[in-house]
Amino acid sequence: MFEWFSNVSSGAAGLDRMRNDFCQMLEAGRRVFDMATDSMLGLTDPEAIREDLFKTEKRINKSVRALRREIVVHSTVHGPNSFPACLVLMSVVKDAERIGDYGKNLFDLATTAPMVQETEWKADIAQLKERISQLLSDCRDTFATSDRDKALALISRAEKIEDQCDEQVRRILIEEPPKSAVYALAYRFLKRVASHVFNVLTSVVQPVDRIDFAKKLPLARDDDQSAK
Amino acid sequence: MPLGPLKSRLPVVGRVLLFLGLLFLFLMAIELLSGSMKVAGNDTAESMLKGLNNPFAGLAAGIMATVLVQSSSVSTSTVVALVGAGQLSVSMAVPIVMGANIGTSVTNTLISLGHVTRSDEFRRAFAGATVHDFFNLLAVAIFLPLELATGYMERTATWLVSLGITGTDSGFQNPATAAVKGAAVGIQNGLASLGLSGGWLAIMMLLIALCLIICTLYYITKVMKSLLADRIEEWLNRVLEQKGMIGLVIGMLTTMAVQSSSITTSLLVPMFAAGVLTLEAGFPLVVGANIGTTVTAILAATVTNQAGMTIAFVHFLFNSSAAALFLPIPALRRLPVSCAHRLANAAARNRIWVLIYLGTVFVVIPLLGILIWKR
Repeated sequence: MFEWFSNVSSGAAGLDRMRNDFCQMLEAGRRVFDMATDSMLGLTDPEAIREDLFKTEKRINKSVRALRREIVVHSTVHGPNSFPACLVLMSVVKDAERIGDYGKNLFDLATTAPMVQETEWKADIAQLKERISQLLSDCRDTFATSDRDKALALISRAEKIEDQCDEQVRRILIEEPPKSAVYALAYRFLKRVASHVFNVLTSVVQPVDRIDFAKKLPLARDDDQSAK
Repeated sequence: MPLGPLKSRLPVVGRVLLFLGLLFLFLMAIELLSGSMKVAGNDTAESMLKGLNNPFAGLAAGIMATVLVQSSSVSTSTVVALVGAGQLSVSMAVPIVMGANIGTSVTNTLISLGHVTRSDEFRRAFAGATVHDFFNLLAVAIFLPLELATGYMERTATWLVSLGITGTDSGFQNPATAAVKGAAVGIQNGLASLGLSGGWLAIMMLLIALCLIICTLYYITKVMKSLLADRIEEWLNRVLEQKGMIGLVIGMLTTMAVQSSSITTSLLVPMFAAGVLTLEAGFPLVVGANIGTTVTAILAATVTNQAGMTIAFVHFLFNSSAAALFLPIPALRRLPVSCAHRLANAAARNRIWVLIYLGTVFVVIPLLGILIWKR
C-alpha cells in the first residue's frame, strides 16, 4: 500500500506530464518551421508537404487547448503551491503555439513568393533557418531539463538571431529603395496588433482552453447587436 | 492546515499512519456518541429527538444540521451513531440522511460565489455548483414520498444487512473494533473518574464525540487529498478527455478517497468556471460524488449494530437509486442540468437571485420545516 501511495503522491506527476506535452509541442513547432522554410528556400515541393504541415499545426493548436485544461485541473487539485509552475506553462504554451503559426505564415510566403533566385538574402535566410531550427531543438531539451546555464546561453543565441533579423529588415527598408516590402511589413504589423486585441477579447468570452481561438466563438448578444 | 505544508512536513508513510490514526479516532468518536446516548438514558434522548417523528421535520433537520457543519459525512455519521444507540429508528433517520444530501450541496454553491466578479465565469461556476443542489432536491422529491409509501429502501437495506455485512452485534468482533470500543470505554471511565455522572457525563461524552467526528473527518479529508492529489488529477483529466459515464466512477472514487463529496464537487467548481468542464460532462461526476460519500456512514456503522448499518445502507441505496433513475434517462438527466442553467443565467443577470435561492433553500425552508412540523 505504501508503494502505491508513494507512486501517486509525489506531486510532480501532473507537472511532468504537462512539461512533456509542452516539449512535444515545441518539437512539432520545429517540424512545421523546418518544412515551411525548406519549401521557402526551394528545397521541398510545397504541395508535397502541405498536408503534413497543416496537420502538424492543427495538432499544436489542439495540444494548446488540452494543455490549458490540464493546467486548470492541476492548479485546482494542487492549490496555490502549483500556481507559479502553472502560470509559466500557461504563458509559454502560447509561444509554442505562435511558433507553429509563424511556421504556417512562412509556408504561405513560400507558396506566394518562392525564392527561386540564388541571392545574398536567400543564403542568409538559409543559414538563419539552420540556426533557428537548432535553437528550437536545444530549447526543447533545455526546458525539459530546466538547465539554467544552458538556457542563458540559448537566450544569448536567440537575441543574436533577433538582432540579425532586425538589421536585415532595416537594410531592406532604408538602404534599398523602399518598395512593396514597406507596405507588406506595415500590413503585417497592423495585423499583429489587431490579432493581439482579438486575443485579449477572447479571454472575456471564451473558456480558458479556447482563449485566442475563434472556433466556437459565441454569437454576439442581442443588446450588442441593437447597439450597432 | 494548507495542503502544501502538510505534504512537505510529512513523508508518505507518515501520512498513511496519520490517516489510520485519524480513522481510529473517528470510529472511536462514533462509539463514544452511541455511548453518550446510552448514558443519557432513553427518556432524555427520546425527548430530544421526538420532534423528528415527522419526516418533513427530519428532512429539514438534516438540511439544517448539514448546512451548519458543512459536511454530510459528519451529519450522516452522527445519525448512524444515534440509530446504532437505539435512540433514533431507521424510519425516522431516513429523511434526515436525505436532508443531509441537500444540505451538503451548499458548500460548492458558496465556493462558486468566488467567481462573482466575472459574469460568464460566474454563470458557469454557479450552474456547475447548483446542478448538485437540483439533483439532490429532485431526488428527495421523488424518493422520500416513495420511501414513505413503500419503505423499499429500509426493507432492502435490512435484507442486505441480514446477508452478513453487519455491525458488531453479529457475534464476531474484529480486533480493530474491539480496540475502538475499548478506547471509547476508556474515555467514558476517565470522565467518570473525574466525578462526572448521569446527564453531565452524557453531555461531556457527546461534546467530545462531536468535536472528534468533525475534526477527524476534516483531517482525514486533508490527509487523503494530500496522498491522492496526483491520482485525483489523473482521474479528472480522464473525465475531460473521455466524457460520458466514466465521470460517475471517477466522482465515486474521488469522494471515497477523500471521504467528502463537498471536496469533490468543490474541486469541480473552478473547472466549470474556466469552461473546461461542461455541465453535461460534469453532472455524472456530481452524481458519483453522492454515491461515494455514503462510504463514510458505512465505515461509521462498522462499530455500531445492525440498525446502524441499515441506515448507512439506506443512504447508499437512496443515492444509488437516484443515480440509476436520473443518469440513463436523457429527459431526466437534462432536468437538473436545465434547472441549473436557468438559475445561473438569472443569477448572472441579477445577483439578487443568488441570495433568494440560498436563503430560501438552505435557511428559510429548513427552519420553517422544523418549526411547523416538529410539533
